[in-house]
Amino acid sequence: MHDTLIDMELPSDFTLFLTPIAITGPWRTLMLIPLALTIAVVYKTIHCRRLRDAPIASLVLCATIVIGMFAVGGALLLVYELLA
Amino acid sequence: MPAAGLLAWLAPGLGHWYLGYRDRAIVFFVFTTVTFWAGVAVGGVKSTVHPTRNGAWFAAQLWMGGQALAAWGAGSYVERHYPANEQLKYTAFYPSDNIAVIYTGITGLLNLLIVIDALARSDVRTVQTMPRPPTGTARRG
Repeated sequence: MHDTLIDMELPSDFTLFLTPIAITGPWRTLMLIPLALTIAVVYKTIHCRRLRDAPIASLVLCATIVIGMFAVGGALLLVYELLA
Repeated sequence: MPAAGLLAWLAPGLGHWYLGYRDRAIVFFVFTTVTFWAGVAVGGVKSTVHPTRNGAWFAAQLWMGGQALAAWGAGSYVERHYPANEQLKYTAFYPSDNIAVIYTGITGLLNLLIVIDALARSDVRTVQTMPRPPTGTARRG
């Protein structure tokens, strides 16, 4: 069980880039959002003819990816529950 | 111009900067670099960019060019020079290792897209600057 959203514990001798960060609980799912944002920004920066169109298009694509991934995950969970 | 592709591989956005697309270059560099090093921070340098540990993901990570080589070199240094009793402390386990490899691998594949885009844009520039026949002359072939 995770009482809070922020339940990552760092060791006392933590060194950035050297000591791994233990990611648990909802953070595993939330890590999808920054990755989806980067994918959306890079893709739309390549494809938009005018760069000023890219921010809105990126946010829409990011939301589409995140919602789509959750929908696929939910559908697979439903199939799993029905077959179990 | 293969130089644009090589520069884009070396550092994300450098190919676009070279071709004059400065705004796009900054966007590419900031987003790919932050995401790549966020992945390395999650998994640590020892476990994230590793040729035998991560299989085909390593090939994807290498598309980050200089940054991937730097992370690989730092990881190798930790593996070789840090004491054996500290090695476990710097090894990532599930799910951190998976998240780190996916972050860095996908960022590498995004830089592959950026390299291809830089090559395509340099080709367009080459075609646009080619001399054209005078108007009114018949084309052959």
